[in-house]
Amino acid sequence: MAQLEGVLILVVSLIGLAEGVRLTVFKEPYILYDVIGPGYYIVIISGLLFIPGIIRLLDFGKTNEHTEPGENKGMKMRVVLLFGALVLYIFLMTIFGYFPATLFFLLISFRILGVKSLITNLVGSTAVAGAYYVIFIKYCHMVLPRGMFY
Amino acid sequence: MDLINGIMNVLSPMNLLFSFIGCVLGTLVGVLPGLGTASTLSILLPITMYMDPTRSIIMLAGIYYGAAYGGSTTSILVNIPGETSSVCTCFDGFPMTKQGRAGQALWIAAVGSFIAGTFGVIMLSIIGPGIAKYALKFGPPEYFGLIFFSLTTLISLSGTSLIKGMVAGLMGLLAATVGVDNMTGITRFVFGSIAMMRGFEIIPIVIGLFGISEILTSTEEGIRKIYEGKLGKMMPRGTELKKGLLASIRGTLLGFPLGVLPGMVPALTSFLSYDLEKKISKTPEKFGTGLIEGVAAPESANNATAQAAYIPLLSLGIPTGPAMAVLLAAFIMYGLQPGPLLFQENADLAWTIIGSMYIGNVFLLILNLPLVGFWARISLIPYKFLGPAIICICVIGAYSPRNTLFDVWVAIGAGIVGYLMRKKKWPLPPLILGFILGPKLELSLRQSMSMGGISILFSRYISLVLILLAIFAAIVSLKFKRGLSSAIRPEDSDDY
Repeated sequence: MAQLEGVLILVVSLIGLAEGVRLTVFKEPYILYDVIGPGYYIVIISGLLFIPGIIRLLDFGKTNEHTEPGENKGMKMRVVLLFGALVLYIFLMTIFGYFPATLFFLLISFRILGVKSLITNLVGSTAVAGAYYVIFIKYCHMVLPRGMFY
Repeated sequence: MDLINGIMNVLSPMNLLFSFIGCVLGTLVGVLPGLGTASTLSILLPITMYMDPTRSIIMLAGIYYGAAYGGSTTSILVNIPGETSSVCTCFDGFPMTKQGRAGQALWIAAVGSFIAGTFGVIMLSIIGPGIAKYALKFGPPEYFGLIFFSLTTLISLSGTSLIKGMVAGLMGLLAATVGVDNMTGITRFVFGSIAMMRGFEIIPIVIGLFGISEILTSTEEGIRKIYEGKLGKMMPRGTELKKGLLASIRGTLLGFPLGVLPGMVPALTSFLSYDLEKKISKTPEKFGTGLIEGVAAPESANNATAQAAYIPLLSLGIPTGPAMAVLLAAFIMYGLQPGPLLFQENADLAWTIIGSMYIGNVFLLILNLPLVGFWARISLIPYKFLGPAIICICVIGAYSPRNTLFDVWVAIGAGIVGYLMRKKKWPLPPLILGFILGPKLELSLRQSMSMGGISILFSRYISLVLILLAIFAAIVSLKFKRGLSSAIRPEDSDDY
């Protein structure tokens, strides 16, 4: 795991270095630059990131990994499903608008998290979505994403 | 006189109401496990955009110090800390409850918190403007030194791995460079995307890192049960009262000066205070069996630290932790810049906020003592209902600042990053503070270099002292962390 973290850190560091070098070497002709310019700072930060990336990759020193005894796969699956529902929620928001999408998301996520009774689920979702409509639209006059139905 | 004017401003009905709402919400946040202070502040922040700036900052400030009070209730009654800063309170608080002395534990926790909170606010009134006045002499090299000191200290103190803290901080600094460079107008890390040209907004990042990630993490926790025992007598008497009050004073005196330092979150000072009480006690073996000092000291320390954090925020514009960083974002959102000029240009606002803390401490004492049964029952609400409801508010919060779904996607991405960091025990505070302080750090560095090259950072004595202090603090904190007992693992802290 430390090696994977090291690889990710190195990738970010290299992207940063590439961007920093680009900004340093290829200067715009009609722009007045300060002493450092927009590139050197990024090169310094990315360069500093490179060192811990190498350390994590080679796993120098004592690794402080905490192994969780018997991780609960059921609970992990809930997290994955909840995240999936969240991504779907944002997609649906662009099509149907905030409130229909919110109602759908609440129905799905209550079910994922263990609310088995359909009536409780429906009542709870409607109550929460309704409360948000009153608070955020009617009282706060907020602008929320609109879609086909809202 | 300024303080009296500030208190008089707070005594207007609407300001009082918002201070009360902040205290109630803060206590609720403290009571509910899985709902951290920084998360709640980040979720509510965009909603307060539509309110009067003074009232919303009063309310947000109330949430912050209110959470420090509220975490003790469930720690004492059901052995479940509402906040990480209340973990120590469980060690002796729950045994006191089992002995039928829950009332005394709750009383000393509330009174100790009140003593610490009041002391903190008084010191803030005295020290804050003085520091702000001195900070008017700061130029770019001094600001670079100050931010460098803040980030280094924070990285050194968060988590037991310096490498992880350093990477998180540097990642935050790098993320802050995305978008258009303020000095030259050149785009950085946009990869041809118009949405990326606007850079990352602070609110979606905070909502994702703290709000969404906390919900994803908390869905893996179980349902809690409530303790149905009696509270017993409320006020301790005689020697017990004396011991409790003295421990509160010691906790306050320890927590307050440490709270000014970046990275010194209430969770850490509460552990330090508990450790100190054990060391100076004539009966250290009795700690963990229901000693009143074991409740009073950590609760006072965590409240004192929470109040002390306002000093660098208001007078220097430097947040000491993620919750303060969200408050800083609130100030910026309203077009205010906390720092030395706050007490000059917006003195009314600054003193009103300080005045609201006096009033807020009284509200919290009232809320925490008579309503303790109510707060304990609130913890019955299962997370399966709370979690999705909070996610919906997070989406609103991420969307509101710029009315763009790009920010919502950023929040979700930050949520995943935050979740993975929590799972793998990577510290979050350096990441968020690096992101918030990054633009200031870069600007002050570039201005300093334009003024006189790199040597100016070492030729100006304030800047030199701050840089040396940063290095010294890093070395000392490495030795200090090795000495921490295994019970204290800062990277486990969900409370920021």
